[in-house]
Amino acid sequence: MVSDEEYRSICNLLYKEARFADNAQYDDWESLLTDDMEYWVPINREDPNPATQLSLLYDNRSRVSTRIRMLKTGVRHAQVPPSPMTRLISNIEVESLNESEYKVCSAFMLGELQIQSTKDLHWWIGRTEHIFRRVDETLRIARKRVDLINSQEAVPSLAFLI
Amino acid sequence: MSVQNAIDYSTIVKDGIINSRVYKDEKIFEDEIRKIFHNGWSFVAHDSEIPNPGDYVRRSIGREPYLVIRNRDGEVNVISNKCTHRGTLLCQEERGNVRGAITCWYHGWVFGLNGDLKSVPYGAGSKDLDHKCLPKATVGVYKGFVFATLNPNPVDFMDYLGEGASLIDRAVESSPVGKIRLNAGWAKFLYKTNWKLQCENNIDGYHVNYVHASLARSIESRYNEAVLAGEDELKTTAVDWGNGHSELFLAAGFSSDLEWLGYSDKKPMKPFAKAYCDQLREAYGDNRASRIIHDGPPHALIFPNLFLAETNIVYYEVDQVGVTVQRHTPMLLEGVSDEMNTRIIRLCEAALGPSSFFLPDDGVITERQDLAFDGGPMEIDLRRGMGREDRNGMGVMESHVTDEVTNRAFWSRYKEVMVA
Ligand code: FES
Ligand SMILES: [Fe+2]
Repeated sequence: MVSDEEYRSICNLLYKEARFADNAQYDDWESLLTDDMEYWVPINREDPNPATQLSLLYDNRSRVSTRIRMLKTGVRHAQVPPSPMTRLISNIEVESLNESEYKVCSAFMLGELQIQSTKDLHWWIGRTEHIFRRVDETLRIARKRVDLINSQEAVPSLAFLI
Repeated sequence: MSVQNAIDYSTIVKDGIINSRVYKDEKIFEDEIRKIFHNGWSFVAHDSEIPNPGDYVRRSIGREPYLVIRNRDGEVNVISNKCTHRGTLLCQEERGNVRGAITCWYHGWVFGLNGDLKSVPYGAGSKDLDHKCLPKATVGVYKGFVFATLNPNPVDFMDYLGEGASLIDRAVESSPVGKIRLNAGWAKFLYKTNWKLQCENNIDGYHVNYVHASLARSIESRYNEAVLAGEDELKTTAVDWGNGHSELFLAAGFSSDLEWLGYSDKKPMKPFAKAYCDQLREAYGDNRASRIIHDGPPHALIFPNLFLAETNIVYYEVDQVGVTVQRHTPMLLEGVSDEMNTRIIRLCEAALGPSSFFLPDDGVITERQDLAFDGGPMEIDLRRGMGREDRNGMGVMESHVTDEVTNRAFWSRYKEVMVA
């Protein structure tokens, strides 16, 4: 069980992260992460073991930094300009894992305008599993796993922060 | 087809000059499906994907649905995935095992693993079904790479493959036991472009500094060294291996061992990487192992749709004239540690696919090409380096890595096939 106050601060972090990602506020987004954050978008829906199975994205913290640095160069063509996008987050369920960590499961729908080339409006839909950790009184993101409903089908460029 | 409507491929594809209609014209696309993908050989699968009898994967030949399936004798068949009764897809899952036979869920016709029609429900009412077995493609297998064609009398498979065979040899020799395994799953990247723009891009050595500028500015690697290098300092080459197969010989630019696995003077090898080098020396002897350790697997296109992408295997599925699906999977090695293969998977995620550090940028730039061609035909200029390319000691055309010799190799084969 988590208190109402804990639940509220968890939702605040979820929404803030979503806003930073939607608005391409890369530094702000990165400031929410722990130093050992892991960022993962699996492909395989039955057996997503990253040791043996390919993922769309499986970043350790240093790879996340590279990703952010690339986006900030202004020549990451796949995100020049950044996709206008809005994500809706819902179905939030929180589980307390230990004194400092929560598992936060949610569902999302993300509308993305592929403004860099085709100008198609694309819907990304799936579920997210976050691990939030309290570090020095501040709640941070220690892990983010995104399961797309169509991860095994052909998907367009996913160079933004999902 | 009437003569007036026939497309003259000898004029729209000339030495190094390509009319952009070839990326946009529906009729040309239909011709390609027939001449290149139905009548000629293309890559469909690797036999490690279907280890056991009854195992199958769904693949396309052109746009025709096929199953690559292993029969009871262990042979690989490529049979139609369309029921010969009224055409519903027999297998809907991407992969699986059909047990002993394939049963159609519309009316219950049953087919064997060689495509033979075994039984139909209420047989008394059906007649003359002898010819109703599933169409079978002609199959060629080289070191586990399965190619297929719908042509019952195609050119000899090994003649088609030509020097492509030695490119495959150099890929599989990365394994100390000479075997690869494609079982980490495929990612699929959707491009709103003609398929040929992807073939061109992957064997283009000229674009790195611009398309991949963001990566070069963000990491310490051979890529930012390449960006800084002057034209004369670049040692890597572009090679035309004949039959439309071509290569960017990146190894010529490597300055340390296992650079292709991400190691360098600045990033020393982990114990599993050293152990891998030892395994190669044991298996192949010092000379050959040193070459493998230094060079790594090739970066090469095997005409028309297989891209040996260093430690990855990539191929293209043609969907529509302006829609292409690129599939990729890490090339896992037999006879090495699990850690080594996990490293190969991580490299694959960094390099290929919709959220990687390379391909989204290639994708967006080529999509902008495809959009620009909507404005009407133009002449695409692929003549770079025509004045300085030369036959090397092995008699193959080789030139500076930024020269469009690889693209010309693709197009000259294309033209041969299309005018025939
Ligand atoms: S369509 Fe397959 S049995 Fe009728
Ligand atoms: Fe590229």
